[in-house]
Amino acid sequence: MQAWRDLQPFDGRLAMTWRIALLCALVTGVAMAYHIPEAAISCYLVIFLMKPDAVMNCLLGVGLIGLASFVVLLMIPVINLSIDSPAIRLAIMFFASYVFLFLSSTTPLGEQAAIVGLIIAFIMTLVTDVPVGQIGDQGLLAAWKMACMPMALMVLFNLLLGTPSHTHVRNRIVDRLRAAADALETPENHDRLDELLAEGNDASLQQMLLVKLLHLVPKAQASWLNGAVETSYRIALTAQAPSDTISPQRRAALAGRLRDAAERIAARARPEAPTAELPAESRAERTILEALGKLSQADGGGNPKPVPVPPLVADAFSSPKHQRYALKTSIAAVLCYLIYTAIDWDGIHTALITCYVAALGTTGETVRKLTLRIVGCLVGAAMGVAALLFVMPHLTSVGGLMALVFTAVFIAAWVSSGNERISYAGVQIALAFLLTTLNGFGPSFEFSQAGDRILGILLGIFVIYVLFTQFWPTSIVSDIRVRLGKVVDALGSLAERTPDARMADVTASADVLKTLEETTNLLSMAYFEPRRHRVSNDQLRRLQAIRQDLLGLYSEIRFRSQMPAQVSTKLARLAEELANEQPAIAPAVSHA
Amino acid sequence: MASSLVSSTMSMAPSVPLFGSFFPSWLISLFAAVIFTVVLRGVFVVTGFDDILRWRVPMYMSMALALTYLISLLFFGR
Repeated sequence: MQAWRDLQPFDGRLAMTWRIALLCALVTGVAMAYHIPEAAISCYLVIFLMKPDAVMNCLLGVGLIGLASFVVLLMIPVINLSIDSPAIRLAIMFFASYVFLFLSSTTPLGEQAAIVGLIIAFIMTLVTDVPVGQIGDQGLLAAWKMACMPMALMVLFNLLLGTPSHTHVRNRIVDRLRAAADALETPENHDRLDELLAEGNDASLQQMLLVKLLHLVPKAQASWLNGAVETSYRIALTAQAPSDTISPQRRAALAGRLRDAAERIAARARPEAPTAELPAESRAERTILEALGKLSQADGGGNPKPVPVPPLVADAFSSPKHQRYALKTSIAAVLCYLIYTAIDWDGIHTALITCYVAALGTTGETVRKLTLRIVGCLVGAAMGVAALLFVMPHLTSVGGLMALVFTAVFIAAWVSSGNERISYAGVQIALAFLLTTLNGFGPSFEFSQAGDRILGILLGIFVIYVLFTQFWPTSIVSDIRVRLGKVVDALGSLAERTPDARMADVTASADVLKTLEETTNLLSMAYFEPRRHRVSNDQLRRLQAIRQDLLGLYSEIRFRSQMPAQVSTKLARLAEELANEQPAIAPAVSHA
Repeated sequence: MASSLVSSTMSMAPSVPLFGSFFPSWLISLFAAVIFTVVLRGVFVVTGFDDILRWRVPMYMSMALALTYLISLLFFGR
C-alpha cells in the first residue's frame, strides 16, 4: 500500500523527526514559562518551516524574525487608524492577505510571505476582540512574540544541533556514487538511482552557494564539493546506460571503484585518480572513468553554478492564475472570519488559520491536500482527546506537558518529514493535536475548546474546498502538458549535439529527468480533481504514455552514438500531439 | 496589585531608554556582542584564521557570550 510505503524509514528521517519534536517541546516550555499565547501556532511554525538543512533554517528564522518585526511596526499606525471601524479592519485584512498571498505565489519568498499574511490577518482579528488601544498594542506584542520566539529558538537549535549544508551535500555525493555502483552491478535495480537523479543538481548547488558565501568550510573544500556535485551527477547519469553498453565484468570493476571513491569521500578525503590498467571498452565506461579522475582533482571537476532564481516569476502579471489564487484564498479567509464572528463563536477561529495553509494553486493539488488534512486532522484530534483523557490528569508541570508534546510531535513529524504525498497529513496531525491540548499556560482539561478547534479546522477546509472547486478551477492537466512540451524541446536540442557532448551533458539531462518526475507526481494528482473538471481517464493514460515514450527517447538519445533515425520523427510527432490536444481540453475545463 | 507593581519595578534590571521604551542593558550588550562577533568572524575569514579553527560554532558562541559580559562590564558597570 502506498501510504504504508510512505511511512517507511529512510536516511535522515529519524534525525529530522527528533529534532522537530525536541524543538517543539522547547517552544512549548518557553511559551508556557513566559506566557506567550497560542503556543500551538508557534509549534506549528516550527513543524511547517523546519527543513533538514540547518543553514537554510537559520536564514529562514532570521528572515522571518525581520519580516515579522517590520510588519508589526507597520501595523501600529494601521491599527490606530482602524480601531474604530470594523469595515476598515476587514478591508485591511483582505488587502494585506491578497498582497502577501500574491507574493507567495510569484516570488521566491513562497510560504514565508503566506505566513506574514497570516500574521497580519491574525493581528487584525485580535484587535476585534480587544477594542481598547493599549490592549491592542499588547495583542500586537503577543503576535510578535508568537512568531519570533519559535524562530529564535529554531536558529539557536540549528546552530547547535543541526546538520549543516556541506554535510548534506557530501552525503548526497556519496549516495549518488553508491547508487550508481548498485545500478552498474544489477542493472534491473535502479529505483534509488532514478530517485536521486530526479532531484537534479540545483538544490545542492544552491546549498553550496550559501556555504561559500558564509564561508562555512575552508575554501578548498568548498570548491571541491561544488565541482563534485556536478561530476557525481554525471557518473550517476551514465550509470543508467542500457545493460548492453558495458560488459558484465567491466561493470563489476567500475562498481568497485565507485564504492572505493564513495568510502573516501564519506571519510572527508578526496578519492584517488583511477589508474588505467585497461583502455575503456565503451563510451559510457570512459565517461565514468574520466569523471572519477575529475573527482580526484582539487576543483572536483568543474565550477558549476545553480540556475539563478528570478525575483519574480515570468508570468507574474500576464497570467491571471496568481491573482486568482490570492483572491480565492483571501476571500476564503475573510469568509471564515465573517462566519465565526457572525455566529459569535470565537472558538472556531482556527478556520482562518486553516485557509492560509490549506490553499494551493490547482484544484487537484488543493483537493488532495484537503483529503490529507481531514485525515490528519481527525487523527490529531483523536490523539489530542486521548491525551486529554488519559495523560493530562497525571500531568502537574510544564515539564510533563513538554514530554507529551515531544511524543505527539514525534509521531506527527515522522509523517510530515516524509515525501510530498503524505507530509501535509503530518503537519495537520500536529496542528490538531497541539490546538486541542495546548490551551492556557499549563496542562489543560478543556474538552469544549478541543472540539471547537477541530470544528474550526473542518470549517476552514470546507470553505477552501468550495471556493477552489467552484471558482476558476485550475486543472493540473494544462500544466502537465506545458512541462511535457518543454521536455520535448529539451530532447530535441540534446539530439542535435555530437555523441560525446550528449554523453557528457548534465544540465539538459537533469532538467529532463526532473521534469519527468514532476509530471508523474502531477499526474497522480489529476485523479483528485472533482469528476466534472477532470479530463477523461483516456487522456490521462495518453499523457502517461507520452511521458513513458519521452523517458525511452531520452535513453536512446543519450547513450546511442548512432541515433536511430526515427527518434527525431517520433519527437516531432509527440510535440504535435501535445499541441493538438490543447483545444480538446480547454472546453472541458472552462465550462465548469 | 499596586504593591506587586512597585516590587517588580524595584527588582527590574537596569535599563536604558531607547525609542521611547526601556531596554534592559543585558539585551543591548548581547545585541552589540553578536554584531561584534560577526565582524570579527569576517576578519578571521579574510585572514585565513577561520580555516584552522575547530569546533567553530561553540567557539563563536562563547566569543559572543564573553563579549556580552565585557560590554556589560565596560559600559554598564555590572
